[in-house]
Parts: sequence; C-alpha cells; structure tokens
Amino acid sequence: MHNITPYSSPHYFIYLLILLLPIIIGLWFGKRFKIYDFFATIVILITAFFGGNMSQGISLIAYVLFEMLVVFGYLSYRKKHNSFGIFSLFVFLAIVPLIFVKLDPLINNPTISLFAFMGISYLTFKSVEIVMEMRDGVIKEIKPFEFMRFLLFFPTITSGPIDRFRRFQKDVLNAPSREEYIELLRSGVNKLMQGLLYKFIIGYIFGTLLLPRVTVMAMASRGQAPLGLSWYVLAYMYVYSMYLFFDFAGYSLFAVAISNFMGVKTPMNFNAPFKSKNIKDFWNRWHMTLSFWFRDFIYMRLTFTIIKHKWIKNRVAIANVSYFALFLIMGIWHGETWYYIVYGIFHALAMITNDAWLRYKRKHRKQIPSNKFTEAFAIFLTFNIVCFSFLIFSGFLNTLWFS
Amino acid sequence: MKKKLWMIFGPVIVAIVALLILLWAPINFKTVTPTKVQQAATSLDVRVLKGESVKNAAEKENYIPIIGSSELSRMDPFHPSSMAQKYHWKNKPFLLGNPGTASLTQAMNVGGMANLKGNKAVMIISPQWFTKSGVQAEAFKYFLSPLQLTGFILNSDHGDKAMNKYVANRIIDLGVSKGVIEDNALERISEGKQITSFQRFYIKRVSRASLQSQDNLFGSISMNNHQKIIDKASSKLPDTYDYKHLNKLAGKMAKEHSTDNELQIGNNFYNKQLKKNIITYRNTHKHVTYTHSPEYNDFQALLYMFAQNKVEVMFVIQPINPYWVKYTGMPLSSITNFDTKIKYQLKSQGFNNIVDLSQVKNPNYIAEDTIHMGWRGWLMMDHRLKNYYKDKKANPKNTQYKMDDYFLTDKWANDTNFSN
Repeated sequence: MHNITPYSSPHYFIYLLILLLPIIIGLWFGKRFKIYDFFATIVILITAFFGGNMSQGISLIAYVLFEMLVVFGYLSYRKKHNSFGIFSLFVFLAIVPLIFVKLDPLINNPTISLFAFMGISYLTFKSVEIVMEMRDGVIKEIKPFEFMRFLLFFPTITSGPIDRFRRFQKDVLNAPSREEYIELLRSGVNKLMQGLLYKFIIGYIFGTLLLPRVTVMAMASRGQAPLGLSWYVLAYMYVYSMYLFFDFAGYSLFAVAISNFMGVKTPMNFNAPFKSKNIKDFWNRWHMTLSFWFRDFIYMRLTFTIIKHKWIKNRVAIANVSYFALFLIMGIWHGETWYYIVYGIFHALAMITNDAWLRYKRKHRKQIPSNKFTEAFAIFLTFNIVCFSFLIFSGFLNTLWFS
Repeated sequence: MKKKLWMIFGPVIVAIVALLILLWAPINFKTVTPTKVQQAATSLDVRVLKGESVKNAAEKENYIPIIGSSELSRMDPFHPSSMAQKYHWKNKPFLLGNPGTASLTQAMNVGGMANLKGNKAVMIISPQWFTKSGVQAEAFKYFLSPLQLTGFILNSDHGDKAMNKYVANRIIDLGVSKGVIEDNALERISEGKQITSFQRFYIKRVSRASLQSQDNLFGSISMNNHQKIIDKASSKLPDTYDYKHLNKLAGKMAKEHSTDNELQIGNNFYNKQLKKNIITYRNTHKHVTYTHSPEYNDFQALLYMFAQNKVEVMFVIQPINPYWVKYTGMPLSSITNFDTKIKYQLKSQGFNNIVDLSQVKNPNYIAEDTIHMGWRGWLMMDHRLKNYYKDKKANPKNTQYKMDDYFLTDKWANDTNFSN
C-alpha cells in the first residue's frame, strides 16, 4: 500500500463519496453522527498517511500531540497572564516543527525533519491562528476534541483552504436546516464538477501535456540568447501559470465541495484571479485563505505594533515595511531557495509600486483617463506581472541558468 | 423537494450513465479509417504503440510493421517509409517504436497484435539496449500499455509457460502496478499458476472492455502527423530505382548534412546535442560491453511472441557510426561480441533472416548521427526490404521455430562461452 494523496485521481472520489454517504444521509435528516465523522476521519488519515513505511503517519501523530501541548499550555497560561514575551514564545513553539521541515533542504540532513508529512504548513497556520486569537481573548475555551476535529478536518488536511476556528465551530456545532443543506449540496456538486474540469482536464492539458514539451524546447534553445532566453521561456511562463492555477484551484474546489457535503462552508481559495485590475486586487483573489491569513496575522499585527511603539511615523513607510515582511515570510515559507525568496521580494515591490501608483492616481484624478481600455490594459498588465512572478516561483530559471 | 434534488443530481447521474455506456456497452465505435491507418503508419504516436485497434486495422491492409526504437524517427529520403512511397512498394512500412522502447515493450506490443498472426514483420535491434542493467524501469513503465497488459494476462493460459512466468515476473520487478486485481493476476502468473476465474472475468469484462472502448474512441484522434516530412523526403529521390546511383546520392546528401564536424554526424543533431559537451564523450566507452544484459531475456520473450503467432521476421542489426565508435574509444570487440551472441540466440532457434549492418565494408554515412541508422544505412536495409515487402504473408517454411527457454535464464544473460 502506498499513501493515497487526496483528490489526486478520479477513483479517489468514488471511494470518498461512499465514505461520505452516511454523513450526507445524516445531515439530510438534520443529524451529525459524531462517532461516524470520527471514523471517516481515521479512514482518510490512514489511507493518506499510513501507507508504505508509515513515517508520515507517525510524524502526524507526533505533530498533533506537540501542537496540543503548545495550544493548551498557552490556554492555561493565558487564563491568568498576558505577557507579550510568553505569547511570542508560544507562537514560535507552534511553528518550530514547520521550521524544521522547511530548513531540511538547507542542512542536507533529512533526519532532522521529524515532523515531515504532507500538509504540515496548513495545520500550522490553523494552530498559530488559535494561539493568536487566544491572546486577543476571542477564543476563551477550546476542548482537545474540538481542536483535533478542526485541525484534522479531512477535506482540507493536505493543502487547505485554511479555515478559521470560530467560523468552523459555527458550522459543526449545528446541523444545517433542510433548505440550507440542499443549497450546500447544490454548491458542492457544482464545485466538484468544476474542480474535475479544472484539475483533471484543463490542469492535465497544461501540466501533463504541454509543460514537458515547452520545458524541453526552452532547454534546447537556451544557448541562443543571453540568460538562456527564448520564446519558449515565455511559453513556459504562461503554460506553468495556467497549470498552477487550474491544478490548485481544482484541488481547492474539491476541498470546498467535500466540506459542503459535510455541512461545512469552508471558505473559497480563488475568485477569478486573472481578472485582477492590480496586484492588490490579485492578492484578494488568489489563494485567498492564505493571503488573508498573512494579512490578518502578520501584516495587520506588524502594522499595529509599529504604530503602537511609534517605531516609524510615516504611514507609507509603515505599509511598505509590512509588505516586505509579509511577502518575505511568504517566500521563506514556500521553501529555502533563491527563487521563492525572490518571488516574495518581487511581490513586495509590486505591492509598493502599486500603492504609490494608486496615491499618484488619486492626486491626479483629472489628468489620468479611466475607461474600458485602461481597465483592459490594467488587467493585461497585472496578468503578465503575475505570470512573470510565477515563472520565478516555478524554479525553472534555476534549471535554465544553473543546471 | 424532488425537483430540487433532480436539478442538483440529475445532470451528474445522466453524465455517469453516458460514461458507463461509452466505456462498457458492447458498441463498436468505428473510428479507424484507412486514412487514419495511413497517418498512423508514420506517426510514431505513443497511442498507436500502446493501442491495438489501429494496428489490427493496418494488418488487414497492405502494411508490414517495422519494429524498433528511436532510429525510426530519422526520416531522411532513404527512410523505408519514404522509399516505399517513392518506389510504390506493394506493402508499406508501419512504424512501431520510440526513443526508449526496447525488447520487453515490443514483446508486449507484438503480443497485442492479434492480426499479425501468419504475417511478416521487420525488427531493428539496437546494441545499446543490451546494457548491464537492461531497460530502465521508467521507460518501460511509460510505454507499458494497460490494454496490452490485460491481453497478456488473459492469454497466459496458453503459450509457453516459462515465457509467461518470465514476463510476469519482469513486469512486477520493474514496478508496474495497474490495479489490485491485475497485480494479483500477474502475481499468480509469475508463480506459474493459472489466473482465477474471477480475475479472468473482471479483467476481460471490466478492465479490458473499457480499455478497448477507450482505444477505439481516442486511440487515433489528433495523432502526430509526419506525412509532410515523408512527402518532402521522398520528393528528393530520383524517379528510377538504381541502387548504385542511390548509394552515391545517399553519401552525397549525408555529406551536405554533416559539415559541422568530422564525425559524419548530422549538423542538426550535432549542434543540439553534442557541440557543447562533445569532449565529455571522448574515450568514455572504452569498457562498454553489450554481452551481459537482462535484455537478452527480454529479447527472448519477444521472440516467443513472434513464434507463437508464426510471424516471419527479418532482423536488422543497427550500425553504429564508426567515427563515433572511434571517438568514444569503444573497442571493436564490443560490437563483434554482441553480434555473435545475438546471432546465436536467433539462429539456434530458427530465426535465420538477419541483416547485419554493424559490420559492412564501407560504413561511410551509414548513420544519421551517433547510434541511429540513416542515409546509406537505411538504403542498405531498404535494398533487402524491397523484395521482402513484395508479399506480406509469412512463408510457413520460415516460421518453423525451435524455442529454447534456456534463453530466458540469468545464465544466458551473462553467457559468453557458447558454441556457434
């Protein structure tokens, strides 16, 4: 037996829907079967993590136990005290396993990542959110069972979308009404079908059929111009961007669809990102649960801290510093390679430029035309900037230049 | 309420029913037309190799397959497809082989060509297949056809038991996995057992039925098309066939195409693949041997497949560019020893039609680049094909094979001490 990556093949859905059937019937009659939910979660976790040598499964168990210690340790501390230092320590502890996993490629010593399993990032985002909201005082009580149910909610376990604890609780503590549930089923079926189209048809065309071809072509003509550039590199950029979107958006649609069948309104990850008019708009439409997480728990908090301590006075400078922090951290989170870091810096610069342009536009509203053509141009420009950033992100330049 | 549910699930149910009908209903989707077959003959599309319907249709028409690997894509004017078109051979070549296909892939392929029975075929052997480690697992997996695999499993109740056992073992060892029931059936064959009646039922009625429908539906749509290349190539040939004249022409054309280097390697290939790093190949093949390889056993499996279907086969041993041989420091004995061994395996079992191009008097421009035949190499082969292609039926006198399962053993794979 190998690990079965959730949603990776059409067959998976047949088994998954059979497993979901009792849950769906229960919800139809307005009931949640806690024990069956638990059983289904165990089945999915076993197939996803305990195939082969079980190392992923053992890591998962170790990870969950460790995070429980951190979260409940902080909860009992927070009931009596509220020091910034201790809070920071617990946030750091919560991300320690992820840091180990992410540092691995740098250290050439794979044994260090005791916690390596698919999806560790997404579970860490959830844990950190809980610790931060405990500090804010908006999460006052949480039971170990609830924590585990939230963390291990199987439709989203490997790659998000990243839900928020309080929102999630609202859904799982009650069963939806018949009308609400019919609406959820409708939304679930639509998203499931859209996801199948995205991931297994469009994503397949770009990722499996076209990407290898343009890769070979681009590599073959890399001697022709400085930096190995050729038209094929441009083709690679677009093909990869399309693949990245359709593959990941397809996956996210599956996760939301399956959540819907289980009576949970997991938030959407994508909202027509290639229609964005500027880069800020883009980050409100692309991998939304991740960008909102970074916005709420890094950008906003950093901005408030800077203002509170009056480290920087200039509002523009504060925003720019926070952008840099956000995107640098996002780059580092993707992995410790130069291209992820450059990808982060590139987006920080794009955001800063975009803000500057918007300020300029506001001041000169009369002189700058705004009509259908400027809007189309804005979308075109944003699309190309984004695709260029994905070319950096893909790591292909690394292969093109250094291999 | 019912209407609402139907609006939600109705379209999905209809789609699923339509899919089930498409894949499993006993409808014969006639998508393979003579035009498709003509296109498939030179398309080198992987789906043609991995499918069955197009090849079976081709066997009913005037095609004789040429089974090989990457050399088939070297479509210069002397390529057999070009020659057959120009000089109106009665039967036309049907090309089966891609970069990375070797004996075992072709054994599966030939095993799936039901209509090849009693007909002729041509098989081009590359010495480079016969390395110490044999075929690469990744290449084999890529070319393994689930359809042909189900065919092999179902056919395992007849034919040579040792060969079936060998092939099943080899497929498992190379890490192929195509479903639990197929895997278990392979396991049984590898142990010399018959597959269970449930396995037979499932693989025949469920797996294979669906794969056949898929092959019929999608096996020949939007294939690669090389017809224009063949047209262009054959337009460069003179109208009358005169071997001596063509031989000179081939040398002349090849010379014009390989001016960038002194190794008689085509400019295109040289500039793309070698120019930058050619120095890294100098004297790297000093210790190459092609006499110890599991490929000999795979090749034997292929011979069994030919023998089972009473196929008459012309074997062509592919030449290596002699200048490349010198450059890489390959000892001549590597080639001659390989020749001796492969010919022993062939002749001792009754496969006597062998065209050996690895040792010819004048090897100038025999190859298109390093290890792929072309120009004069193709012409020498064509000269033999010309007569062979006059009739596509096998001569029963030439298919009296005496198969020996010693050639499936490890011992043979490493044997260099045999009598001729």
